[in-house]
Amino acid sequence: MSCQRSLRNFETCLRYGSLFLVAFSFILGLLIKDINLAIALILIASSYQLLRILFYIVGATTSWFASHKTRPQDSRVSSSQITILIPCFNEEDVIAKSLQHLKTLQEKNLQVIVIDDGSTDNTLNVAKLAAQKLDLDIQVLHQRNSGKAMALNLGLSQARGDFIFCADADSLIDPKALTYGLQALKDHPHAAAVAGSVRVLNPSNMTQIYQDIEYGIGDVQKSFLSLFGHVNIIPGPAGLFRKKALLDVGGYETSEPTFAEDTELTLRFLARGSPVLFEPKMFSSTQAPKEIRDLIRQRYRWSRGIYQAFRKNLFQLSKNKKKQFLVYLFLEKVWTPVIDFCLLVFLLGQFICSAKIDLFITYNLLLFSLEVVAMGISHALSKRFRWTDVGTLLVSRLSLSILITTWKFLCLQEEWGKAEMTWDKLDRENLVVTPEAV
Amino acid sequence: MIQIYIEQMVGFAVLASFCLTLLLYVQFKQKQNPQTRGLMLWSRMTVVAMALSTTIYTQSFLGRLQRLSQPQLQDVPSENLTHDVIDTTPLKINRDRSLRILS
Repeated sequence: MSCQRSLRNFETCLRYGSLFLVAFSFILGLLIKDINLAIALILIASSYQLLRILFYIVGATTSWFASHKTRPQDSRVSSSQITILIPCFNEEDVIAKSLQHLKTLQEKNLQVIVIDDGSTDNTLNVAKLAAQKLDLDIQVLHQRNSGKAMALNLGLSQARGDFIFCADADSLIDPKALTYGLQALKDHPHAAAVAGSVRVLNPSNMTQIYQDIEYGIGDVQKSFLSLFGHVNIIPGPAGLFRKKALLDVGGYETSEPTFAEDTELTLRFLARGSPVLFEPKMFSSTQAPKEIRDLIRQRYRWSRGIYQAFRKNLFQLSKNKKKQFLVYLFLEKVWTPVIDFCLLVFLLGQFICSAKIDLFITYNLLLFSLEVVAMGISHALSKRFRWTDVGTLLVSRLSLSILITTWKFLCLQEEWGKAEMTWDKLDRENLVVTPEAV
Repeated sequence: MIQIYIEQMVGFAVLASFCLTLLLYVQFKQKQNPQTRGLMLWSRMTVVAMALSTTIYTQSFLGRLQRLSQPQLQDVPSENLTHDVIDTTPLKINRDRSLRILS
């Protein structure tokens, strides 16, 4: 109880401290005339951000070389049964298509469980009809609207397979994804789960292409963390678990649910000392927000949910001698968003005061060049980008990345201020499967 | 000169993205909870920050344009430069005359 109170006080300090830091950075940006001093300050403040991208690049390159050798397929693993859990809430537009897509999977020993979380539309009937029509072992369950975590636990209770693959109703699993995932778990018998890669399904505008690039750069980070078995997010649309490991941690958290149940579960695995790996070839393509308004709604849920999961597992991680990992999480989830925002307002202050943009451009070009290298590695891992995406990244650096940096900071402020929050569902489009998506 | 205007356009795009995010935030929160009091504070803070920023920026931009419009040393043709010889020998003060004036 006293620990909770200390944490609460610490968060209040963080809230006001970060606001003060932002105001101070802006004033500093307005006052500093000496360009050398400004460059020195920027380099000191961004040293962690720059170094971490370099580390990720080195780590992911190592990981790529390590995984590049061809591995023999173990028939025993391939014959293991996999249960695919698909929770859904108001997904009538997409559920039939995603179930139909399961027929393309290379692994044939499958059990599919669709859990309807009290949808108010026709999802249940559409899913039942698709289950009857398709030549697959599909079970459709229904529950009162109780949240995604509860729906996944219901599915888990009915699962027969030794391995559980969690997918989203709007995602299309790559035909070879399960084979690669199973192979990774076979190669590492102590690993509890494998995180897969997520791609944006048919990215058509700048917002979607930028998100696809973000996911790709995130894969580089995961490849680095996978070297230590410390991947910190198993994404909702592409996660393969050992059923035993999932049951050992008690499944998804339902007593005190967070808004990022996937991160919460992953951190619980890590707190128990169970390694979590990353397999770039195990991927799902999923719908991504097309409009900026939808993007910020999604990021609001993610930013706050991830921090909630971090807070929830803080004491467990510190108890289990995971202090270095805890420091890393703090740097990633708290330090980086705050300092990124401080740097942004500092550079804006510089622009306002001197009417010169060269410092802002130089700093962003430095980040851009590192991101292009990360993109290259991500492409080497999973062949996903086109040359034109580099141009989109350059434009997004001056627009969307500013929006996301500001948004993350505001979300943290709300989380520290304990602002109320509700589930917010994005509007779905009909799934259109193109050859590139498969 | 063109470079300066391009710079300002990029700078404004960045500034606009930033202000747009703050406005989107206010709108987002209003949708979530229309009765939130803190929103008014946020809106006012955004407007004040934008007004202050615009004032400071206009001054600095005009200052930069003014500096550029003034001819720089390298812009003046060499034949127009005068080469006056400046006498740098120390000034000799007629001590007796100075004392006479003072008295």
